[in-house]
Amino acid sequence: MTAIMEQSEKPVHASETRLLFGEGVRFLKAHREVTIVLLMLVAMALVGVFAPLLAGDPMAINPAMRYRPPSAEHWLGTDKLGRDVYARLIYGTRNSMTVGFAVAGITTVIGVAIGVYAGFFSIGGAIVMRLNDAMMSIPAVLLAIALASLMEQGLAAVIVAITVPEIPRMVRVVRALVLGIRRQPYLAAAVSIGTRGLPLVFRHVLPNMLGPVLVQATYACASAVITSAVLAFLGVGVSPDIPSWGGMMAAAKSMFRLHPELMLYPGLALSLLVLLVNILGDRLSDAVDPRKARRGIL
Amino acid sequence: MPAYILGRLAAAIPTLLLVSVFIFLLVHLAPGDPALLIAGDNASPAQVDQIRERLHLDQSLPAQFVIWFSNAIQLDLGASVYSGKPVTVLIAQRIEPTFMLAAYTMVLTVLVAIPLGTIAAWRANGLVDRTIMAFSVAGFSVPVFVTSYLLVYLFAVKLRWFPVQGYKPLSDGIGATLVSLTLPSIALMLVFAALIARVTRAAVLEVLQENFVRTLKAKGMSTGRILVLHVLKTAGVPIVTVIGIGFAALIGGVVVTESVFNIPGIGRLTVDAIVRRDYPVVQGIILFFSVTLILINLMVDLSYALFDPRVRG
Amino acid sequence: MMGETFLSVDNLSLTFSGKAGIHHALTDVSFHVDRGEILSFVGESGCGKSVTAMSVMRLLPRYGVEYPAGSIVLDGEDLLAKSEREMRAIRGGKIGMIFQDPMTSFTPVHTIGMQIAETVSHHKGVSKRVAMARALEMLDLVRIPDAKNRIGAYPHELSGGMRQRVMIAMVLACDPELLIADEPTTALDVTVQAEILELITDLRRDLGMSVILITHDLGVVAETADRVMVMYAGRVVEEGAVAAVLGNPAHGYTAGLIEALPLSGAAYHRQPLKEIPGAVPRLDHLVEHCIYADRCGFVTSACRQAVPERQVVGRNHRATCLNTGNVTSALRDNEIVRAWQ
Repeated sequence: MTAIMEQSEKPVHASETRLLFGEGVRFLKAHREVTIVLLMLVAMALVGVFAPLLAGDPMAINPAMRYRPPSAEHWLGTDKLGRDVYARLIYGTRNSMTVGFAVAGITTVIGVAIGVYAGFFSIGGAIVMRLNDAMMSIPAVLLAIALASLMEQGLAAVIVAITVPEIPRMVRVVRALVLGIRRQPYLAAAVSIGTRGLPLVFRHVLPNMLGPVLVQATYACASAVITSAVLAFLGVGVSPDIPSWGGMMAAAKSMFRLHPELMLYPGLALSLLVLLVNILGDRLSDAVDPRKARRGIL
Repeated sequence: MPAYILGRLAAAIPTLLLVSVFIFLLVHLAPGDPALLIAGDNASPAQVDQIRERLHLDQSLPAQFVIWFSNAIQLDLGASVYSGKPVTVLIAQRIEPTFMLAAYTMVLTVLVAIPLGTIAAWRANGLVDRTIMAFSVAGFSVPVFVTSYLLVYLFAVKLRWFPVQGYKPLSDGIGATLVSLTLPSIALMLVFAALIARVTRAAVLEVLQENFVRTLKAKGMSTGRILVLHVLKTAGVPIVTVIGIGFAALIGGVVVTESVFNIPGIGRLTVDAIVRRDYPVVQGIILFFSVTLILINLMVDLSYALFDPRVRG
Repeated sequence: MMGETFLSVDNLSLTFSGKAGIHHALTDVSFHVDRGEILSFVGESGCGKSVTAMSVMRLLPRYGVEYPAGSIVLDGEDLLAKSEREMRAIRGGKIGMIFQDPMTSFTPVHTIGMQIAETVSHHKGVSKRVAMARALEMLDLVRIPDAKNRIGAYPHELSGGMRQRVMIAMVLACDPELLIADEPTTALDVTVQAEILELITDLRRDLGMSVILITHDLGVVAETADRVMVMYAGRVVEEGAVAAVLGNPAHGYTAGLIEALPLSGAAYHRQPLKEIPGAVPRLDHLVEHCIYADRCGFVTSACRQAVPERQVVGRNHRATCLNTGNVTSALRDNEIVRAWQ
């Protein structure tokens, strides 16, 4: 019996969320790098939120001022319509951050719900997983492009178009986690004292898969930021007038040889955001899966 | 072994069927009248009616699906609303550059990612490992069109080693084709290799902890032989699996890369069709890529038997 | 040739260092193995038996492992001075090693024939065909039934006992002069255990090789070995001919191991199993007294004053203990000890 107890991971109960919080603080103290990454992400989010205070009008067209080099008035110069590149870059943060967080959030809620269902009900679960596999056989970017082009232009359409192909991956992760948790002695113990249904899920299942789900949500966020840029770059989904990094790169395409910097700024911003989110995901993933990489005898 | 192959084939069929349903519903359940959607904003009511009739939109949804699906398995994916050409012909015309791009990328990826991932695992937590893994995180954080333009700027505009864009067909000689595809393939490879190098590292690292590595070492085998002949082959299953999974991302990347480099492949066809709202073509392409993906994953499943005798049963 | 020293380890110390600090895995370990003899290492897990064997093979990781003192001399050559390349000729060549878990000791994706043949090719420089013929010959030698067909089998197609035989065949295929068997029977069924031990003793007799047999089971020692070396916390505490050590145990730890053995017959029901109180000490610093003093039933104040010198207890029998006489007389009535007197 003790052997079984040792094998099972230390379970977390819903009443211990404060304990989880404490663990989070301890984790941040032990991983300075993660703290820095988080602070940078918060800074980027704040840039998005307070964009109107940080930059002028990103939509103002000035045909007389096309392709101007950086100046006191236009810190990063102007684009092909004479719009302020700095302002568009700052406002573009909004677009990417909104899509990233919205997709990650919606994917997590829907994915966890479907995944938990598929993990607990064998027949329904098998059907859900078949549908899931089929969904995953459609290349995600293509599906997103098609969905976005079918809906009315706008941010909501983009979010939906990116979320739909993202959900099956979350479902797969969550279902595997639920199947693992169902084998744990603490769940058998909870069931044996009569805990059933949603209370069982909320008290014993969800708290114990928080880590891996958070990791998957992080990756969904990174992937959403990239896909939304791809959509904007290909001119699908959002109007090119709305400032977005992908859209800025699409606009810079034609004069790329003469003005590569117009491509560079949004490209760098985009890469930085995705990089930060991915690093966060990797560190979380290392923390969640404590199997330390040991070096062997080779 | 035949039982294993048959089992895999049988499992692929329902997936194929479900994918077809999804793709069919994609256009038919989208908000708005599909005939209007397909006809475009400038079509006259007569044109819309014509389309409605041609696409059997006047019939019930299941009936429409049966017609569409039975046509699809006979390789009839309908005709382009824009050019009137059959979708299968359009795809066939564009398949060469896409196939070459994907194949070239795949070869580059395997050549780069598997050795790097293996070395990283061998030197786990060391400087070499951390460098490789840092590049890997960067690799799939930088979107493919950003890398594409960086490469173009450096190697085409500044150094002039490769053309800025365009594609030389195989009829011009394979050398010319490969030169024209080198930059796009490298751009795509960076993303793809990052993923595969990480999985290779994880898989190799896990195998390195196994007891048989100690046995091999105790037999006096060299590190190189142990890594390549024993460890890498044992780690083959997860690595091949992720190559299959990564293929989905590769297809997405192909669409983007073909637009950046102006390569007349299926990716460009997709973007053009979407901009023109040419839905039969969009539908056909998605079906084509999905079937490709299913076939690739089937091949991946079958290759397990090649790596692991335990699968052969 | 019999009786000549083949492997001699003198005053060997080994430390592991890492983030958690330093760990004195071996301290002042000395022993020798003569040609044709079976020496057994005994002790509980973590006592340093496997680390000693891995040191002889130079199989420990390069980083964090240091040998502050001592030498390992095999057939007149200092193994600690060898390069990795030179060691690759010795491992699997002069010294063969088999491990505890035959289930996981083979590459799962290659046939056993290939795995034997690659060893033969590496050490003997023969062609693949010759190596395969040798593999078949060896499978016959270790009494694998239907070896001709089994040579193409994958490890998962064989039972545990069969795999351990194949392991022995693989190791012996290159005619090692020393076989190190690290708990070769621990993972096997009792009946299979006996077969494997018999195979090892038979092959020792027929091939004249030396054997180091690592085990935590005094029963295995009694049945198989010529000499025994008892280890505790990275040190040799007692060493000598099996009959001498089991018949006249002279170290408190050996006494503890013997007393912890289940007794046979009626005595089994009369007495509860004895256990050694306390736990193995942490080895993060070197103590300046007997390492076993805190757990020893025979401890005196002198034991805590200095590290005891090695005492000659009898012919071919030494113990690192100050109270050897007390230990021996206290154990005189033990059933197992009596059987060996």
